[in-house]
Amino acid sequence: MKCSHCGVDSTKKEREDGKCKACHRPFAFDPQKGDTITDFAFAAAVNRVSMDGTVKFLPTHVLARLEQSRDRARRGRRQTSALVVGGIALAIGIAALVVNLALLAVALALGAVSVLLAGLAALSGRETVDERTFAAWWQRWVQTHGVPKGAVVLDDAARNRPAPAAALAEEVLDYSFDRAVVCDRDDIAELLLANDFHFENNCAVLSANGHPRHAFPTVLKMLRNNPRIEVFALHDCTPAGCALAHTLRERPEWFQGIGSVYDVGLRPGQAGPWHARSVVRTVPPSPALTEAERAWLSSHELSLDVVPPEQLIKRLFRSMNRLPEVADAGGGDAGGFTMIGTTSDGGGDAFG
Amino acid sequence: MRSAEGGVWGGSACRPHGDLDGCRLDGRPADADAVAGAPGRATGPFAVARVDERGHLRLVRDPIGHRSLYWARLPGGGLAYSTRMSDLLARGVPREVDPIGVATFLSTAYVPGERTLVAGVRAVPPGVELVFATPGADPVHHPFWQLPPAPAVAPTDEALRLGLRGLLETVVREMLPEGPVGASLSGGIDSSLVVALAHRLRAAPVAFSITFGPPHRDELAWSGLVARHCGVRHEVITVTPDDVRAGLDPTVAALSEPNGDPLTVPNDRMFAAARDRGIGVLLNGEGGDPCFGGPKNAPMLLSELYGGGSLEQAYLRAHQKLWDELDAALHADARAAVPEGALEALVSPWFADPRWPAFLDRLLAINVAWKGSSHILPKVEHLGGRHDVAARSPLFDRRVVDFAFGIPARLKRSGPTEKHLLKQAVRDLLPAEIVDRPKSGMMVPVEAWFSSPPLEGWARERILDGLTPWRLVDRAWAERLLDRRAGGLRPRRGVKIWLLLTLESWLRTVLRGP
Repeated sequence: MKCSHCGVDSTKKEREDGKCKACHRPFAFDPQKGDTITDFAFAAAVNRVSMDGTVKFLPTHVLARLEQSRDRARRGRRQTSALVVGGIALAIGIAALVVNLALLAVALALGAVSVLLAGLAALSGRETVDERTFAAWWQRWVQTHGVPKGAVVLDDAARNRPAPAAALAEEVLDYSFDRAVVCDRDDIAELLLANDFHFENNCAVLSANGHPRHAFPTVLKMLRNNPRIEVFALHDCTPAGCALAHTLRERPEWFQGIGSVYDVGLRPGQAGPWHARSVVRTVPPSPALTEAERAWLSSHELSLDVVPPEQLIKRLFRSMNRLPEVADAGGGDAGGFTMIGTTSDGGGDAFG
Repeated sequence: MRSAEGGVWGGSACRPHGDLDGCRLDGRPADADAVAGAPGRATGPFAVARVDERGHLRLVRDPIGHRSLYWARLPGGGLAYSTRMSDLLARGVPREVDPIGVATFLSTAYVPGERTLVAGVRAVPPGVELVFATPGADPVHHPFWQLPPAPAVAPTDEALRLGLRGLLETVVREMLPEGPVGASLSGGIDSSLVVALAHRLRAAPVAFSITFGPPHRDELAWSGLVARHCGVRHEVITVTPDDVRAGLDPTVAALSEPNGDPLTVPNDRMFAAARDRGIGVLLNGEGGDPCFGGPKNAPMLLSELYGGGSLEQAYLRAHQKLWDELDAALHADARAAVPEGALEALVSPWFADPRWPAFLDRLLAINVAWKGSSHILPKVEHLGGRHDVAARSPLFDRRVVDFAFGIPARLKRSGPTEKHLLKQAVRDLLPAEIVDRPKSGMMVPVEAWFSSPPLEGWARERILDGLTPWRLVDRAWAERLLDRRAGGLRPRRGVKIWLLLTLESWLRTVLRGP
């Protein structure tokens, strides 16, 4: 089993003390002892979602990455098996034509098996990791190796940051910003803040639930001061998420009659590239949803976690910088996860 | 090219001499003698040296930093001073790089304060007279001007609006020459109001704007609107990759210190165009953002609101250069020579300054002091001087800066509107679309330039073969940057490459120059 730190392979005997034979760092997992994950695979998932430590991420991004990797690996194994069996069938078939036509039956049978395997690969359900299992993995990893660099964990410290100084809080009420992102989840808002999205894009970031608590009241007041505020709703593909833009637009405590609200979240129409989770629920009619969306959400949901954090942030940036005004036609919000190209330049400082 | 003013002081007397431009004392034209005697009452750019009646050398620089002035001790004795770094080096100052200066330059694109990129060379701070009792003595700092504190009671909004308008007219009028005048025009509020005022007060200035040619975006629609509205001649200068390749070295060689703003070569082309048309004075709109509350202050406001990090680091990060990866970017030798917290320590005093209760005003103060006197003004000073064109920045005039710091913060940034009072003061001069347009800024297409020939290969060669041997920048890091392996959400590869190219060019043409 490969060490996630030094990459050296240790046999079971060589790691009887639970440590790498080369660098002597402990392993968090050991398949020989029943774990269905290895340190190497876990570390690879962390490296991938963090872009080798350059992007902050949520633990749920690691979960999504592990599921996608396992899913891909399982499909790959089945496709490989199908190819091998198909290849054998072809070889026997050719031999049958030359040697003995009776072999043709064998070839046909093997061909059918190959097709069956290929079909299973294509139609098999998604590889999932139980959330409780992942939570245990995460805990074990943290205990063994520490919190992965760049992990954004919405703990008590993050939720209970001190409020801005009173003098500043009073001063900034004279100011506002041009844009804001409102998320349906606190942890997505925290992810954006941890990646300095607000800082890089001159925009406020809030969650619909009032995160970050210490700045929320002040920031919301500032935003509502701007009659031309542009608000971008970023959300999961869930009934509550898909209703976010509508809520922000229609509720007086949000932006009713103020500025413009754009939906840049995941809607059923954009769920195609990913495996949605199956659910069973009743979704009542809503002006925020089309009938088709209601039907889809009655049996599916999709989390933003399926999008790696780097992609999420880049897509959000592109959407915010190109989206045209979208009118609410009363039958659900249009817009959503756009993939608009940009050729934005670094540019120089422009003073004056 | 405007010649440097400098000398070597061995303790003997010398008459006041220096670099002045249109200075006035109590409303009357003033020379070096007059300015040296009363720098606190003088207006206009100046850098003056004199030996006083006690035999002490006095080096004095105007309050905002329109003129540069450097000094250093010579190995054989004596103290050298000059308005230009290349002149100072030619007088025998040791040509050694200061790693802290390099770290600062890579983080901000300039070197603020008294430190420079040359070890042992110091800049005279703006608004300060340095007094040397002997060539070997440490200088005594005599500030004759400081950014004013926030007023206890401000005039009414209307009085401020009218006062600002009157002051701008006075300052621009004083800056207009007898002969032809030009003005740089981006189409933003700052340069537009300068053009409009100049036109209203005198014969129409020639307005110069920059474009980079298709497919790159530009601001010509806005600058054209202003030019037509004011009825002024509008000249458009196209800057191409070939201009960059040909123009970078002579542009950087004209600067005393490297300036990492990608606008340096375009600005240089603009001054050249002005000179070619017989224009001796080029006005600009520099100073609007740091004095009146421009949009570049928003990230710091957000950072302070949301918290979660040090203010000093946020300020350095807000420059969007190499601060966040400085450890990786610096060569191990250079890194070892930069003490932990050295750069943050430069920022701290400004955010703790009790003169300004409002956070926004403290931010504007450091921006005037840093970006004004160490970045923007030296750039226009030296590039204009290269072409014998006087660069004049009305919005950075000392009286305008004084006035700006008397404006309450709520009139600088009002709701989402930045530069609120400035806009109110000049609203009648310009079309509403210009006054109310969102700030966009001049976007130099560095990402595109350095992603394709001819500049991509040129940059690679200069950085890897020219810069890394200096052991200031880590070669492996530079290779990752050039190869697009740097990663991160906003790699800003083009901006960083420009920064490194500028540094390489400066080391070769100035530090190792004649």
